[in-house]
Amino acid sequence: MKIQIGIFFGGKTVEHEVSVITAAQTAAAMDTAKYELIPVYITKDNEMYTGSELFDVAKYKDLPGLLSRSQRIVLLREKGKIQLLRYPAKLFTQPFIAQLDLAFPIVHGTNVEDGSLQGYFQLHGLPYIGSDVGASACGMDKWVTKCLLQGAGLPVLPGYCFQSSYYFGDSQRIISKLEELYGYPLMVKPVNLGSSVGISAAHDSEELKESIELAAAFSDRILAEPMLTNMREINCAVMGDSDYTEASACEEPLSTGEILSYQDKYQGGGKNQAAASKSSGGSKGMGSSLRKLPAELTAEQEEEVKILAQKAFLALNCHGVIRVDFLLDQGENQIYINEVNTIPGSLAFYLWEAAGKSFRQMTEELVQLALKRQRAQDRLIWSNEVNILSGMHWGTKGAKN
Amino acid sequence: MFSVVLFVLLGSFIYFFWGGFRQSVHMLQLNSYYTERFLQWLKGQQRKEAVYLMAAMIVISFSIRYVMSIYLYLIFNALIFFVVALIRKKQPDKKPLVYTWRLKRLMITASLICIAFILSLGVLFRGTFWWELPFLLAFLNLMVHTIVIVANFLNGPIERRIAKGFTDDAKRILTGHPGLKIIGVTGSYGKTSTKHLISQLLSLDYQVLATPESYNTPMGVVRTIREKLSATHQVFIVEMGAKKPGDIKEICDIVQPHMGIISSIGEMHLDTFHNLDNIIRTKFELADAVAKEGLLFLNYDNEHIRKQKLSQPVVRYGLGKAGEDNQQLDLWAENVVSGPKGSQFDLCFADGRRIACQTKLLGKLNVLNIAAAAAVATKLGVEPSRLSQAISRLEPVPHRLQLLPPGPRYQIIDDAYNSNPEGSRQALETLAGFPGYKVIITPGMVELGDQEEELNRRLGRHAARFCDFIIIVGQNRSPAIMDGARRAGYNESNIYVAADIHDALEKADQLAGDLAEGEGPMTVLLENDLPDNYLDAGKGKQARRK
Repeated sequence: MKIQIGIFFGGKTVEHEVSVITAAQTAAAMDTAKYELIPVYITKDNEMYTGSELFDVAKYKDLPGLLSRSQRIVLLREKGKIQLLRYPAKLFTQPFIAQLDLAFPIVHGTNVEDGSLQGYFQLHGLPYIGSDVGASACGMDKWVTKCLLQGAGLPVLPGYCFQSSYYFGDSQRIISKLEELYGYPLMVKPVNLGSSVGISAAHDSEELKESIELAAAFSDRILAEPMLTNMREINCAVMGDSDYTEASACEEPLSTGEILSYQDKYQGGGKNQAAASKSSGGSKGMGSSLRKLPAELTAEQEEEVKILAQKAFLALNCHGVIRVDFLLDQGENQIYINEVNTIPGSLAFYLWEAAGKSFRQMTEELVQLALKRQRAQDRLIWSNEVNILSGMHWGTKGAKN
Repeated sequence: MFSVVLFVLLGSFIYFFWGGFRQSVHMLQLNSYYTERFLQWLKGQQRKEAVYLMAAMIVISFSIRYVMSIYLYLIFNALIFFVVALIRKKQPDKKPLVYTWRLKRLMITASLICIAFILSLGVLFRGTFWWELPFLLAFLNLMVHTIVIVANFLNGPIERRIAKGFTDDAKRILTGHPGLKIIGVTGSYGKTSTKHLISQLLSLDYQVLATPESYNTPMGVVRTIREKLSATHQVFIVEMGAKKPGDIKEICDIVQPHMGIISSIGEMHLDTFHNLDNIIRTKFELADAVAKEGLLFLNYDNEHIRKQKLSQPVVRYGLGKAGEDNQQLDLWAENVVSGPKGSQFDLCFADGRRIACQTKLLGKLNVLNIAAAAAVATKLGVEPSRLSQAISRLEPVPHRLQLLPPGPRYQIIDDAYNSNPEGSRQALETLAGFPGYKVIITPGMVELGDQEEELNRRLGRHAARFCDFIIIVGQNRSPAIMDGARRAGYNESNIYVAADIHDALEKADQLAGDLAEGEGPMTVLLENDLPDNYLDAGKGKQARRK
């Protein structure tokens, strides 16, 4: 009997394609002697498909063809078990396709990674890998992340968050406010997107307008913060749960511009991979972008990054594997937590490989962590027997009626 | 017209018949479809109502059958069935009837017997069949238990075949799960608690499945495997119950346990085991099953277990004696202090390690059960240093010395599923540790064979020592309990014999209300409440919930 794991990926998100790559990488890494891996591809239209070709990234070039060869499914809870059923049902054919013991959400970005998909599992009572609804939602929202980390006494840059409608109502007021608060240069970000999408730097009021309007295309809420001019980016992954955490190696992603763009992160350099990781099997995704691994840090800096990363993990009540991105202000020698990815690109496997933990070993631990959380939850609602006292009203005469 | 009348008659008869029929199959189900045990329940039953009804029908019908038409006659009889059904006393079920497939098959067979019976007598009384029909129906009602027994007998072969199919399926599932650690738990008492506690401690590191509630029969185990076991499980804990020799072996043959725990041996189910030797032999069937490569965990506080000579690897646990060297134990609890807030103790290992623990579970027996769980957990690689925290978080097992959240007038220690002499005494001692006014509600103990009366008398004596008030549920065992209390010099005005559990709780309400200043708070121990088939049938008060 193998453990049946549904790998959920895709979704209505700007990072849809990245998720397809990460899912394929993960499926390739997992131990198929132990696990039966069932792909569940969520289209940009939020429909779910399963099929044998869905872990093959190359097949996605012809998406309509791929989908026509795949099977649309629905999830159903029946007698305490979660089933994948064929949809629409065919006459005289069993709709049952598979039963799931565990879900592995490998999704990036809004509408999926932000707790939506986790909530869907939660509602079905299906145990799943990674952060729960609350932590996922917090991790996706840059403003909430900043507030929580600040509340936990962890170093973050100051920031100002506003509704885009306020800006379009009175743009000058917002601009003046930001100039007064931080001056230039500024970083402007949509509040709830990952992978650097919609993020830009502004050096004057003209650029600020452009930046805000760019961010507003992606989100209704916009976060502005002062931009560090002499800084490096450092990333570190954390794995575990509230009982035990562990930090990976640190990397320094190398960018072509002031900030690491979406292209830098996921479409890879390929030419100048001087310091690139020993990415496995030529697969693409985060595993193949430009980086220094391990990052050039002093022993104290590295220690601090690792401790802060674990503290951030706990402050957000994360679970499974996350990646924490830092900004290292070289002038002040100050480290700031920039953002938290509750489902990092490529699951940050390259950071763990550099720390001596194979991708397969990682997935093994993630499965056990998910099951452990489910046990803890089951324990909280430990009641199943018929209680002969349930019908009684203690000490009230009303019981006689 | 005649068919309408017939329809009315049969309709009201079925409505009438259903009550007895349902009760009968319900009791058979509660007695696990064992005819013998069902008959034992039946012995205590009075079928006066059915006999009177039969007699009344004969008298009335013979006096009116020559003066009215067949229509009126049948309608009149239909009315009798209907009225009797309406005024019949109903009792709420404590354990509901479950419409399993087996039960449905039984009901179908029983219905077929009824129809065959009516039809064959119809041939016999050809001429006057319609006139005799009401008697035949009343007679059918009188025979309801017999019909159910015959149906059960007829279904036997097919049920056994179906059961074998399920068992084979369960075995196949286990074969496909080679990494699964299987732990068997048996004992005269304490096995459900031990199972729960092992499950909670092992959950620190493992995905655990345990047979739910008190599913401890072969079919209960098979059902758990078929319905609950999933690929993610790493440990399967099987509670093994026995009422006769061979029962444990039967379960072991299905699951083939790697580890076994014998939590206690005592005088349980003496009515089916007949003597203690049989009990010991049956429990140690588990020892034989794990003999080859497995590990056996034994409660060395129990003299019957201690006496056994075994040549296989064992882990011995118990409550050690402070100050003495507990050489014959591998793991024990020492310095046990129990009170109304739970217990504190030191968990000691043979290598000299000691871990200070505390638990909110009540009573020393629970400390013993925790020692068993800790022994299993350590053998399966749970780090002893983590046990202390896990033990402090252990949750009580429902209905087993479980302190319920306090009600507005008094708090309840729910020990309702306990039914052994040793456990009862410990429960009373636990109650004694509570401040204020102490009340016990108990129907006494059953299934103890010849010793039942003596043991209930002893229960009365202990209750007299520790309780300010004794409420006995039902008449059956109340004389023995009262006798015990009386001999201990207990004031009889502080004993109340309640008709049923609702009456008993109402009495407790009243006591709480009458409590004088300074006498409180009041604590009620709910001891040995039993499933439906032991309640004094027909003597209960009218059901309150309708």
